[in-house]
Amino acid sequence: MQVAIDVTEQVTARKKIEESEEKFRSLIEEAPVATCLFVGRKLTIEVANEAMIRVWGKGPSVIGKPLAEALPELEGQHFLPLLDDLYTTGKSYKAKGGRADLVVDGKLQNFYFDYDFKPLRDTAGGVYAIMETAIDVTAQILAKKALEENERNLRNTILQASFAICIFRGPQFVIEIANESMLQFWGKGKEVVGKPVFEALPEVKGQGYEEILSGVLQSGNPFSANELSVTLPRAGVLQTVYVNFAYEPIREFNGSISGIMATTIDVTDQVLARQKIEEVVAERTKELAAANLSLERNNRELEQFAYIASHDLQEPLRKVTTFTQMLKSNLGEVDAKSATYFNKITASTLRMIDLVRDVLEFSQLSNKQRVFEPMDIGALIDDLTSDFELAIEQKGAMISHRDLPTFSANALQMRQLFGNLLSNALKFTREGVPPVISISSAVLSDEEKEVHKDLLPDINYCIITVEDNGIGFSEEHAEKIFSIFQRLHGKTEFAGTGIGLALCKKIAQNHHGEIWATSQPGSGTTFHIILPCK
Amino acid sequence: MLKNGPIILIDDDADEVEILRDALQKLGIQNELIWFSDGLSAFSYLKTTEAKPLLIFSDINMPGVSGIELRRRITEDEEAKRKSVPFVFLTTASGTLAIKEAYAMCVQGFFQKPPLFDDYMKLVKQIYDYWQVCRHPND
Repeated sequence: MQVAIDVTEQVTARKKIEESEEKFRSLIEEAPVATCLFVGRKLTIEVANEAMIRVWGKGPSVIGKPLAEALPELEGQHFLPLLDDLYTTGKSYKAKGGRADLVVDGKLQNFYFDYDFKPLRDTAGGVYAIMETAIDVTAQILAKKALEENERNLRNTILQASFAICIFRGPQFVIEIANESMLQFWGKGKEVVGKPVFEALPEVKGQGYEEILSGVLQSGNPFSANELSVTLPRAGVLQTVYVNFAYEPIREFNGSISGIMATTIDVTDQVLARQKIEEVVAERTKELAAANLSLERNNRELEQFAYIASHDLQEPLRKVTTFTQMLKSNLGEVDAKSATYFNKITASTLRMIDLVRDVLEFSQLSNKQRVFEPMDIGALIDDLTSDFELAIEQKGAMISHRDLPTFSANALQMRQLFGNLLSNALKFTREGVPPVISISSAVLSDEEKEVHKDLLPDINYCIITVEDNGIGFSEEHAEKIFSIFQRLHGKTEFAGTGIGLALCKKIAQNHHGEIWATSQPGSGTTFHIILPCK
Repeated sequence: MLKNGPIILIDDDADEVEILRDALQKLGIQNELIWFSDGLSAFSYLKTTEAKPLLIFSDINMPGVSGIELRRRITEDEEAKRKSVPFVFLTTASGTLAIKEAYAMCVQGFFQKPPLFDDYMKLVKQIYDYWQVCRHPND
């Protein structure tokens, strides 16, 4: 006998369940998010879609295994106890950006998921499985963490910076961050953070900074300025300080400008120091100018004095000589002695006139030194030779010159210099020996230059020699003869005031040169003159 | 005639007129010597006189109107200028500047007073002889 039990209902029901399960399975498998189904308290992975298998990184072998076995790295993390708990409570659990450490490609890595655990109940109401959906948000989380890290770093940098930095946010320029330096600079405490700047620092209003900040915010062009002044309260008192500052626009990802970073360096000390230096310099310059004026006035007074000396002193001297002679002629015949006395008076007075004239000439030497022009020394000697024609003829003298240079010098002084030397050479002659005077020149070599310490290093010099065959002098007097009014001979032997060579020396010095003499008594003298030749 | 015209001396120093007078006497020069101690009175004389002076000796450094200033006024005044009286400076000072200034005023000579009286007389004679010979519009 065959017994047939009508199992249609059961089969249909089972088929329905199978269908339902099938539908469910394909739902899961086709879900765009990682989805899986843990069945039983052991959390056996019955279903897991491709997305989830990828998340776990273990391949499809995980299917059918309990979770703890498929992902052993979960040990120690909170998922297993959590899921077990959900089994008990039947509650669902949602997490955003939750961390899970998974071994993927053989390496334990950190991941972040937005995940959802949903317990599934059977018909009896008991939990038989938990469905998980998870979205991998690792990238976003890491990016956000990186951003937060950057912001933290920036904040720290700002706060720790040794110069004043602050960040203004928004069109009200709310003080978002301000480091200690900036707070000190403002003369305010931390209470200003979070306030719009012009509310926190009302003293800064109306100094032009509203316009500058708005300009940067709108145009996106940075602004910087040096040594601008700003008035701020310091210890309750308004002070003007000087700052170098820069405003940099802060851009968002979309390019809009959300704020301004301001850096400020207080340069008040520098500016004040510099102003002080400028003051001191101005004062010194004034002092110098005053000293110059004083010197110029002195010079003018000296010139006047020299002129007066020339005129007013010579006048009475002339009277003495003139009236002495008139007296003599008035007296008619006088005895020899009286005649001598008259002559002595006249001679002395004439000598005094010469001295006064020479002193005047000597003192005026520094005044006329400014005008320098090219001087042909050879031509000058020829000129002087014709001036001295009479004396030359009288003494049968011969003056010759060769290789004489042309260089920049003061014409009058050169004339005086060489005139004096020639005049001396024509005067201090040996009895019966016609004077022979030769003048020549050479370029001063570097070795020779070194011997003369006072010469200027960067200038070319030439050395001119004036040689005569006159009476000469003993070398021990070689320096003395250049002293003013120093004479080696009495006035009865040779006329002269003793100023000629002193004049020559001063002239040489005026031209940054030198003069000295070498001689042997009875065999002539050579004068050596070093002058710049340019 | 001009050759016998007066010789004018303009100098603030009374000694100078005595020296010149003595020199003229010793030289045998008989022209009248007229002395002005300041430039202004000399100038008014030159403007108004009917006489035809031979020569003017003038000092430079005088209080009030200086010799240079006097010469300038003469050259700028029609009447005085027309008389063309030879004008020489006879002075102690002889700086280059003074000489330049003087010749800018068209003087007929610039001489430094020699200290020795003999030289002074020689100089006066030289100048006098020169103007005795020199032709002149007022002849």
